Amino acid sequence: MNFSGRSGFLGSVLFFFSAIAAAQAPTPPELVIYTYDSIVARGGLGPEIFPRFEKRCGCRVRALSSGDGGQLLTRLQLDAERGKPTAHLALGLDEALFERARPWLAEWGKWKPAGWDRLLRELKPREGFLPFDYGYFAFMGDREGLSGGQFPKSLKELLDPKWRRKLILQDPRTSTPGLAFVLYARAAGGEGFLSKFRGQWLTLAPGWDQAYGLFLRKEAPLVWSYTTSQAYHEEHGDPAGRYRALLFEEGQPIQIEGVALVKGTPTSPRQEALRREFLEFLISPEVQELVPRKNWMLPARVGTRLPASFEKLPRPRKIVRLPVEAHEIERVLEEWRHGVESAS
Amino acid sequence: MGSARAPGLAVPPWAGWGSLALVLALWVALVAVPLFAVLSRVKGPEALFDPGVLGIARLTALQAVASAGISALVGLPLGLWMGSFGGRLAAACESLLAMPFGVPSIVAAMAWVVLLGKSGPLAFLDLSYSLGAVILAHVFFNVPWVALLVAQSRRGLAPRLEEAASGLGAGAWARFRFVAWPQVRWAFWSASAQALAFCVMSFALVLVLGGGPPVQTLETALYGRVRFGALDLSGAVACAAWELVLTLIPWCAVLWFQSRERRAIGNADAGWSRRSSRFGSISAVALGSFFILPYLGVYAGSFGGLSPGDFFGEIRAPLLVSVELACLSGLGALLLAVLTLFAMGFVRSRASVGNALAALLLLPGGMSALVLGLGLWLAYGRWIDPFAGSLAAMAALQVALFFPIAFRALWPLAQAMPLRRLEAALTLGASPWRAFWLLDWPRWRGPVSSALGLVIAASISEVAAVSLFYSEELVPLPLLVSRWMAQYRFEEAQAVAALLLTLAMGSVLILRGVGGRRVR
Repeated sequence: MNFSGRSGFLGSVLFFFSAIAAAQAPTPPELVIYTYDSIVARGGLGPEIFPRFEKRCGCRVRALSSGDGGQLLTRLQLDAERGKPTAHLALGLDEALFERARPWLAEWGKWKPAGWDRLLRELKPREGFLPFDYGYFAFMGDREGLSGGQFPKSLKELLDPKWRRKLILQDPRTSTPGLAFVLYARAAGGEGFLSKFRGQWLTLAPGWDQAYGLFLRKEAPLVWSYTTSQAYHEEHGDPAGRYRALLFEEGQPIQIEGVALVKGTPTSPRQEALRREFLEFLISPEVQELVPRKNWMLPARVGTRLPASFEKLPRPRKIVRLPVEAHEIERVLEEWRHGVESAS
Repeated sequence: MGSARAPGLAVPPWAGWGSLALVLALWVALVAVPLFAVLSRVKGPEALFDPGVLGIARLTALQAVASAGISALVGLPLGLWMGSFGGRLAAACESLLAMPFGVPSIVAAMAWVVLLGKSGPLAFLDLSYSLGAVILAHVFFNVPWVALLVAQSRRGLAPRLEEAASGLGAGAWARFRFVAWPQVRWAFWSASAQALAFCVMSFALVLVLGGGPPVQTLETALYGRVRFGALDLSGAVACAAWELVLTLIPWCAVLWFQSRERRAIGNADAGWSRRSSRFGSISAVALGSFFILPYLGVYAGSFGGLSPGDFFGEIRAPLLVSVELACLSGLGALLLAVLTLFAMGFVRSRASVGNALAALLLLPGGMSALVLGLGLWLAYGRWIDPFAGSLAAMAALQVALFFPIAFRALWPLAQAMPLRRLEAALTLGASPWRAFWLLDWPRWRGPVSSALGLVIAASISEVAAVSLFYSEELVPLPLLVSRWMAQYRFEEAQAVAALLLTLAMGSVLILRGVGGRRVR
């Protein structure tokens, strides 16, 4: 009885002191990251790398996802509207979104992340925008859907009536790949291409996911996607190469995804150091090797080991750089809108 | 203002003032403040008359009038016919007609793609990715709704009136014009106004089935303005304003005309002894099922590659979030509708105040969820952290959006109170609660549970409110569909879509069953 009474008392004392100790233990600093859905979803890059970084830095990573890259930009803008920026980092902006998000992003000053020199030169890293992966846009073709025919070899070939209603695109107003196609078609196809092209597509899906879903349902033999989609199919039961990434004579547009520091968020010196450390972590070999299979994009760091399916991906003959300035994008979109509406 | 003596709820002053204050406070918090937050950021009224927005408004109106017009023309005779049957099969038929209302629009869009697509059974119609596909999908969605409301109203007609008209030599047309039409016309007009509003605000069906511009509506144009990249609040508000005009004008017209005509006090004995032709009832059930058939295509995917253990492990948390949210929204919308009925019963002696209150409260029914959600974000973002995810914010927004569904379902009942019986019971010494429970609740039980079923179904499939306030810990099922599709997990996404359809239609069906709606 005595023992049990004593142990009960000691237990209470221990609990009391441990509770005090827990209350006094410093809370780990928090790093808030805005990103897009598929990075944080199960099986994505986020669940692999955030815990690793937390372990390394002794901090807590809070990733807040917001649909896709476009919505990420809207969230940054809304944060500014409500006068309460929350994120320390924006992860997953592409070059065009980065240009539009510049008013809400912080500059780096003289600082450069470790590993900066190891980034691929064609990604053209610039101050304030750290590329961590990239991909080439391309049409994916379904051999079965073609019933023995030949895939197109150039963008211009797609104007041929035999391709009418045989391709699925995304709406350029609501989808990053859709916008990339319009900018690419304007840049590679020249003036008037967009209005001639009207009617060739089967549908303009609201996003990449819906477009690709329709493609897999055999609605059309061609869909606008990434060359890395071919690697995905190869790793998921398509060794015979039914689904192929098509390279065009005009070249392929490139999409570079990066990370940037957000301006105006209350940041302690420790958090400031942490967010820069996260940038360096993102381009470290440890993370870069995870990029292909977890984000289905190509790693930005030179010499990163690639899975066999990625090694086999076709290399574009020419890389097409798309305009990133907001006014130029708006001009091309206006031309596209005019083409679509005049044809209706 | 004392207790109302006109048809409607008799409300004591304390309850009247209390409910009125509460309803108005909720309206201000959930509708007025968010709306003001958006409107105050608009730069000038010129956006309203932007030729691009006007063109989209014109196309939206044309599409909605065509879709709702066809639905009304088909739904009216169908409802009149179905309403002429009684018995258990007629109740089943009503449930079948209510079920399409619970079909999540993203699931409906997927199902129509399967049907009209290249390898679908309706490919020969060559309608895929066109305005025709959008109108067809809208008609299939709205015909059962119009037919349901007409059939329910038709059942309120005393058969002896029709028999008397027949006996006096009235032909089919004369019987329709002078007997049936006066009975069903308000149900018909309000169902048609509601169908028009659905078509104006249609989103996923237009986005997926329309094939992109030039087939677009104000809602899809609005989506493009708030969702992607550059936030164009002026353009979004211009789209939302035209959307409000197109949805609320028909509904306000119905309310106004209805208020000019004093309805007869409901006769609880009306509608006894309907026809009970077995063949007719079975035909009506078959026809009711016809409108659900297209959506069953979503079950036609190949789910063979799925591991049930992993699948259910992954959807467990989103499923719980969806169920929790649906219960909160359903109960919230119902509670708000009952409070509003109290408030309206209280101000009933001043018809204009009651109508103004109804119009104000029905405003969210014509508003885009995106605009209202954005407004909530802007208005309360300083105090709550929208990025942290908020089940309360999702539920509040859904209550504001779906309250009109519950209100419209219950209002006709509140207007047609069998006062004579209630007053008799009260005179004989029954307490108000006991009088309500014994005399009135049996009348309310069916509509209350079916309204709850409809709101729960709408909440389960709603995307806009949840996409504004979700977090990693609060991902409901509809968001899981798009998230998995973005990860090449199309098979699993389709399985979730099938689950959504089952949950939404199941809640409509089960709650109608729980309500024990008898069809006489």
